Amino acid sequence: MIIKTPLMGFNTWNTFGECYYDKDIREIADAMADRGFSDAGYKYLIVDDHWNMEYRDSETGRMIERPGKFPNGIRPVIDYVHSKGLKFGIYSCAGTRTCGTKMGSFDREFTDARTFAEWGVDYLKYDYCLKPELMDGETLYRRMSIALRQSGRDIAFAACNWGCDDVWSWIRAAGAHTYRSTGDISDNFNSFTDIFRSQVAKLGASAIGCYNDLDMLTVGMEGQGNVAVGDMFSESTYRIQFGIWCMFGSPLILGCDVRTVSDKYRDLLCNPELIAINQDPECRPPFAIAFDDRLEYCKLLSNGDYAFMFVNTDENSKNMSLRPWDIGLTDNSGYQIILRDVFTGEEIPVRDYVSFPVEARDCRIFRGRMEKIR
Amino acid sequence: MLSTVPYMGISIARRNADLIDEKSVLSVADDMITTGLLSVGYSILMIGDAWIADKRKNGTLCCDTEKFPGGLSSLSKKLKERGITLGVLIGAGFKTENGRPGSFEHEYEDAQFLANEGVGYVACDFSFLPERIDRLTLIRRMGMALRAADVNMIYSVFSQEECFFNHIRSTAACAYRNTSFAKSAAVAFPPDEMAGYSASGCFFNCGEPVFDKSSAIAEVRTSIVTASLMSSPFIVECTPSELSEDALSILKNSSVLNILLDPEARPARRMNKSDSRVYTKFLDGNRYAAAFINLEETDRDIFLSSYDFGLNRDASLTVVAESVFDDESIRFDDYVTVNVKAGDARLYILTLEEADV
Repeated sequence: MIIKTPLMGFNTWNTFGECYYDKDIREIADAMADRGFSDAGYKYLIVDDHWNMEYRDSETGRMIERPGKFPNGIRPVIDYVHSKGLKFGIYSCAGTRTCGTKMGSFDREFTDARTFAEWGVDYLKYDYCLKPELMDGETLYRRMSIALRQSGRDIAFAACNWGCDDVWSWIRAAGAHTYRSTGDISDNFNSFTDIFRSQVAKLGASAIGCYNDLDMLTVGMEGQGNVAVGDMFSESTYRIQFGIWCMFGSPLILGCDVRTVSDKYRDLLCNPELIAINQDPECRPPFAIAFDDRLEYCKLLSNGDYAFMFVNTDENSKNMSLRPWDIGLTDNSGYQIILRDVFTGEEIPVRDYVSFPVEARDCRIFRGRMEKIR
Repeated sequence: MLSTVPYMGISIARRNADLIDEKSVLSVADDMITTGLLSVGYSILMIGDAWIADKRKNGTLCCDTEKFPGGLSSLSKKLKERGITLGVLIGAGFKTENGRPGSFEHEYEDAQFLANEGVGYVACDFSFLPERIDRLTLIRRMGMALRAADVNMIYSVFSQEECFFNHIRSTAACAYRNTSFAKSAAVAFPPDEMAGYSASGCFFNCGEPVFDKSSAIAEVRTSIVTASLMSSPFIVECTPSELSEDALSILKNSSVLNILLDPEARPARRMNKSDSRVYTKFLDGNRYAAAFINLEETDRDIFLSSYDFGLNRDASLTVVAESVFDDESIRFDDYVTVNVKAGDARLYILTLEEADV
C-alpha cells in the first residue's frame, strides 16, 4: 500500500488520555463528518492506548477490548466510524505491554494483525514502550509491518519509537508509512518548537510513502485535555504550529476535541491553502533559508511554486526579510517572485530583497510564484 | 518534477566526444528499439556534454552544429518520434568535467535554452566550482532555473565531493549521485545508514555502469540487482547492439525491472555485516525481494534467517523464494543458505504462505 501524501486524521490521546468510551468515539466521528474536518481531508479516527485489557483471551490468544469502554465490543464502533466515511485506527505496542501497561503485541504480531484486519482496522499506531531490552527494535517494526501486509487488509502502519535508534535510517525499509521522530508533544509553545527544531536536519528522510510524524497537533486545545502544560499557547502560536506541520510535510493528526474546538481553530486546521502545501504531490521537505537558527523555511511545490514560512519567536514584533538569491534566484535570472500571504491574500513582488513585519510569536506564510520580467 | 519511480536509459556520455554526433546518436536510438531496451523502459538517451560548442553566444550555451547540424531541437524531435527522451550533461561550475563551458552564473539562460531545445533530462555535474560559494546553493539554483524553464524536466545531480544526503530532497533534484562516472560495471550502494534518504521523488543514484561486448554476465547481473534493490535510476553506458544476448536478457528481465520500478520504491535493508551481503526489500503487493551478493573472490554460502527477515513462531508462515534469473524455487521456514559464485548475485522474489504445522 502506498500512502501518497501525509496522512490526516484525529487521535484520542491529547483530548482524552485514557478516559474515552464508546460514546465519545461516535461523537468524534460525527464531529469529523459534520464540522468539515472529513471534507478537508482528515479521514482517520485513531483510538490510542488503553482500549484493551492487560491479558489475552486464554483460548484464542487475542487481545480483548475493555468492557467498561466498549460494552458491546469495539467492532460496532469501528462500523460506526466507517459509516461516517471515515477510517478507523487502533493502537498497540512493540513491547510486551503498552505504555499504559495494557497488552502489547510482542511475539504476537501476526495474531494481532489478523485480529485488527478482521475487525476492519485501517491504521495501527505502534508504540515502543516495555520492549524487551535486548531485542532489536528495527526487527520488531519489520515484523509488525509484515504481519499487517499479510493480514489481507490495507492497514496504514504508523511507527512510534520517538526517534530512537536512528529510526529515520531504517524505518522506510521496514515498511512503515509514518514514523514519530520525537518524544510526546505538550500543549505548549516551547514543546512544539523543540520538536520541529530537532527535525530540520533530518527531514530529507521524510518522503512519499513514509513520513516524519511530528506528533499529534495541539492546535485549538487552549490548555484543555490531557497534554496541557502551562499557558504558553495562543491563536498566533497555534498558527505557527500548524504552519510548521504543513511546511514539514508531517502527518496532520488532530489532537483537539473536534466536537467543541472553536470555529476559528477549525478554520485554521481546515485551511485549504495550508493543507495543499502539506499535501503537495512531490512531498519535498523545506529547507532552512538562514544559516543560523532563524526559523525561515522554503519548500518547493510541484507546480513550480514555492512555499515560504517566517516565524518570529520573539516577544516583540519585528521585520523579517528574504533575499531570493539564497534560494537560487539570481539577478540575471529574468524572474521575480510574487509572494501571496496565505492568510490575507496580500501580494508582494520580490526581486532581490523584501522586508515585512511579523507580529510577536507569530508567523507569515506565503505561496510564491515565479513571474518572468524580461 | 515528480519521479515516483526511478528513470532508466542508455548513455553514450563516456564515448570519445569525436564519436558523438547526430548520426551516431540516432544509430544508438535505433539500437534501443531493435534490442527491445526501449520497450522495457530504457527511455532516456544520455549524450553527455559533447554537443556543447566551445563558445557561448549572447550569454547562452550553443550546440556544436558541425556535429548536430539541426541543433539539439532537431535531435530531440527525432528522438521523441521514436519515444526517446534526450538527456544531456551540463556543468554547474566554470566548465563541465570534460572541459566544455559550464553554466555558472548562466543557469537561467541555459535552462531556458535546454527547455526550448526539447531536452527532458539534465544531469548536472558539480565540479570546477568557485570555492567561496555554497555548493548546495548552486544545486538549488540550477534546480530553480530548470523548474522555471520546464517544471517537468528531470534534474539529476552529480556531486562527487559531497552528496548532501539529508538536504538534497529539498532541492529540485530527482536523483543524486556521490560517485564519479563508473569506469566499470560496478555500481555502489549508499552507506547503509543513508539508504533511508532514498525514496520516490528523489532517488540515490548508484551510478551508471559501463557495459560492452566483453562484459561478464556476473557484472551485469550484480549491477542491475544493486540498482533494483535501492530503486536507483539505471542509465547504462553501452552500445546496445554490441551487448551479448545474455547481457540484454538480464537488462530486460521483467522481474528485476519490476523490483527496480516497484511503486513503493522502498530501499533495501542489509541483513548481515559480512562482504557476502544479503539484502531484503519490501515490494508493493505483499511481496519482497531478497538478494544475495558475493563481492568476494571465492564462491560463498550466504545465510538468511526468516527471523531476521521479520517472521517468528506466531507468524506460522513459510517463505517461498522464486529466483529471478533462473527456475530455482526454494521454500524455507527458519533459514536458507544460498551459494553465490564469486562476484555474482542471486535475486529472489519472496512470498509468504501458511506453514504446514
